[in-house]
Amino acid sequence: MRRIQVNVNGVAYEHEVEPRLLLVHYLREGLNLTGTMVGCNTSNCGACTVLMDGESVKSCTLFAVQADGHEITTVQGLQTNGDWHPMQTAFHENHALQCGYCTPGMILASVSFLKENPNPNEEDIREALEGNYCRCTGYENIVKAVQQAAGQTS
Amino acid sequence: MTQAPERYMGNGIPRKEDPNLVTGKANWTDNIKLPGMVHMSMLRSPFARAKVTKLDVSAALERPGVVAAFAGADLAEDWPGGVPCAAVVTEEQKTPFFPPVVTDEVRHVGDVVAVVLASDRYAAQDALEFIEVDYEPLPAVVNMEAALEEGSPLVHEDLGTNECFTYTANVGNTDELFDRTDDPGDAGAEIRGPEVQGQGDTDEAFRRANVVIKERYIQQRLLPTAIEPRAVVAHPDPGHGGFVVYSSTQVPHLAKIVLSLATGIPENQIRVIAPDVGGGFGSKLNIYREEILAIVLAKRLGTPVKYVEDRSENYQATIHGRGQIQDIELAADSDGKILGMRVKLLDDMGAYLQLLTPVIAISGAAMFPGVYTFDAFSIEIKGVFTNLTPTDAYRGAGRPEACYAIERAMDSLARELDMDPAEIRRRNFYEPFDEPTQNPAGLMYDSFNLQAALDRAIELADYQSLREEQRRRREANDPVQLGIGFATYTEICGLGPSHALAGLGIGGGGWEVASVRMLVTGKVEVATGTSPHGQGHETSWSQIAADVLGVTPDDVEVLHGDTGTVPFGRDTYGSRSLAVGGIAVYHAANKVVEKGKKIAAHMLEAAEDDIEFEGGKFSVAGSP
Repeated sequence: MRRIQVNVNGVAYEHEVEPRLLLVHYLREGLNLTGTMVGCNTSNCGACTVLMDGESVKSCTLFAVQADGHEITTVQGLQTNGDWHPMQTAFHENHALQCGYCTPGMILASVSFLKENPNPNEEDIREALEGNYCRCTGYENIVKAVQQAAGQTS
Repeated sequence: MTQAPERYMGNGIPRKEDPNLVTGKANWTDNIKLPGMVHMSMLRSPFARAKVTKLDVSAALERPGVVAAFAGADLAEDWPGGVPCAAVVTEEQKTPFFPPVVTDEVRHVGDVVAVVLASDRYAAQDALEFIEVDYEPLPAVVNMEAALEEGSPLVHEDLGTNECFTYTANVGNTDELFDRTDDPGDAGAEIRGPEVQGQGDTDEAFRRANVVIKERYIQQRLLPTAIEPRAVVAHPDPGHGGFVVYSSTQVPHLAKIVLSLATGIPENQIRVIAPDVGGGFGSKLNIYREEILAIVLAKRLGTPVKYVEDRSENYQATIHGRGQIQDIELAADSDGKILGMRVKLLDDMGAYLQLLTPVIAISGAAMFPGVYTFDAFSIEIKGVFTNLTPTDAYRGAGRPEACYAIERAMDSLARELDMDPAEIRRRNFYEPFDEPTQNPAGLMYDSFNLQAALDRAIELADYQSLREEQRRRREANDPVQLGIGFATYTEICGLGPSHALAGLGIGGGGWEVASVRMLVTGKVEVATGTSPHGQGHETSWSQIAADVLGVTPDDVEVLHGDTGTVPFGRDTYGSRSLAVGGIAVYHAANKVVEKGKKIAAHMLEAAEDDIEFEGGKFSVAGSP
C-alpha cells in the first residue's frame, strides 16, 4: 500500500492505495465520483478522460499513485457555483450527445484542447478528439459544440 | 402552466436527458453499490474447442477476498433452461443446450468454465489465476462451408450436424428460370412477370433472360461495441422477497421473462431495471449467461452480485453481428430488366443460439429484392454452427446485409451490360405507387416514388459533373481517383403486431404499452414499455404527451426501463420505439382527454359532444 495525496475537484484527499489501483477505480469506487467511466480498459475510447493539472489524461491506464501530488478534475468538478462550464452548455445546446456515456470524457478532452488551442478550425477539433469515441456517431454535433465553446459560432 | 406553442412534436427542443449526462450524474449499472455486494469474474476459455479435463477451484477459494467459486457442474441444476433462444424458424431447427458455465467442453473462445465471487473486482480477477484447469484442445471449425462438409468437427456432437436449420422461400419459379438461362436449348417454363405475363410465349421470355450475374459476397462479422460495456447487478430484495436485477440492457421486460425461464425463479419474483444505458446497437437486445449467473448466484449466496465485462470480454462473449456468405444470382434481359433472383445464404450462428440468432438472416430474407420489381424469387438460408462467438441482432439485423447484396449485384449487372448504375436501377424501379404493393418476396411496400428520389439525389450530387471529374482524373492518371457509388434502399423496421412479425416465429406479438396519468397538481406521468439507451425517449415522449394534453414537456415525467413501474412492455430495438411505443403514448394521452371530456361535461353541465379541449383547457363549444 502507498499513501497518496490528491486534490480532486478542489477537495484534498489522502488515502492508502494499492500501487496497482487504476486512477479511474480510485475515482469511481474510492471517491464515488461515478461521472468518470470505463469504456475500453486500454486508452482507446476516452470515456475515462479526466484532467490532471488541467491537461487531459486517460484514467483507465494511469495508476492512482501517479496522481499523487496532482490536481484532478472530473466532469463533476467542472461547474462553478452550480453553473455549467461553457463546454457542458455547448454539448447540451448542440445535441452533441445521445447515450451520454462518452460525454464526460469528450467534454474534458475538449476543455483541455481549447486551453492549448483557443481558436481551432474544424480539422483541429477532429484531430484533437481522435482519442475519444462516440459509438452513437454524433461527431458532427460534437464538433459544433466545441466550435461554439471556442466562440467560433454564435 | 405556460401557454404551449403550436406544437412540440416536430420542433427540436433541448433534451431532458442531458443535464444528468453532461454533469456526470447519470446512473450507470456499474455505479450501483449495495451492502454486501460481491463482484463476479469469469474464467474464460482461450480455446475455440477443447475438452475440460480438469477443473479445481479450491486454491482460488483460499485467496484473499474470495467468497465463492464454482465450476459448471456445481451449478448445473440452477439453470434448467440454459441460456434461452426465443426463435424457432423451422420445425427441424436444432437448438443446442447453452449452459452459462460449461461442464465438459468449451465451444468458443470466451466460453465460461468457472466463476469466482469476491469482495471487489481486483480480488475476483486475481483469484481466476488460481483455478486449476486443464484443456485437451480439439479440432475446431470456424469456416461455414467447412462446417457443412462430411467429417467436419462438430460444434455440438450430440446434434450430429453443424447445420442448425435450412429455411427456403420461393415466389415464382427461379429454378426453371435459371436452369433455362444456363442452357438455352431446354424447353422453357412459364415466367410470371409484368413483361411476359399473358404473352404466352415462354421461349421468348427465356431468350430475354440472356444475362446472368453470379456473385459471392462475404458479410464479415462485426463487433457491436456499445461504449458502455455490459453490466449487471442482481439483488435479493430484502423487502419484498424475490430479486431486483439491474442490467445495462435494451430489454428489461424480455429479460424478466427469460431470466425466469432460464432459472425457474417465478417471473413475479423478478424485477428488472435498466438504469441509464450507454448504447446497445442490438448487442443489448439479449439475455446473457452473465445475467443468468448473477441472479442464480445472488440466490445461492443471498447477497447482491455484480458483474461488469471488460472490453476484451465484450468482444469474446457479447454477440457479434453479421457473418454471412451470400451467393446471389440475377437473371435479366438485355435491357437490364431483372426477370428473377436466386439467393443462397450461409448464416453463421456461432457456437450457441442467443435470443434471436436464427431469425436474423430470415428477417432480411424478404428484403433481397430491394426496390426492384420482378416476379421470380427464391432464397435458401442455412444456419451453421461454428466454434465462434454467437451472432445476433446488430444494427438493422438482416436487412442491411440484403441491401448490400442486391446493390452490389445491380452494379455488377450494370457493368455486364455496360450501363450506367443509375440507369440500371431506374429500369427496375417500381412505377410510383401509394397503394400497398407486394414485393417479389411477398412483403407489402406501402408507397414508392423512387424515380423522383433518385432524380433529386443525382441533381443534388451534380452527378454529371462528378462523372466528368472522374474521367478527367482517370485520363490524367491522378494519384487520387474518384469513386462513385449508388445504393437505393428501403427499410423494414418498427415492427408492430402484424403478419410479418408473426411469420418470423420469434414468439412475440410486437405490441407496446403506454400509461398516461394526469396527476392532481397538473403534472403528467407517462409510463412506457420502451427502454431507451441513447434515443432520447424522455424528451420525445414528453413532446407527444405535451401536445395532446396542452402542457409543456417539462410538465411531463417519462417513466421507463423498470418492470416494477411499467409492468408490461416490449422494449427497444429494430426502430420500433417511436413507431409503436410513441404511438401508444399518443393514443393513451388522447384517452385521458376523452375521459376528461366526460368529467368536464358533468362539471360544466353540458353535453359531452359540446365539450372542446384546447391548450390544456376544457370548455363548452361557443362559450370558452
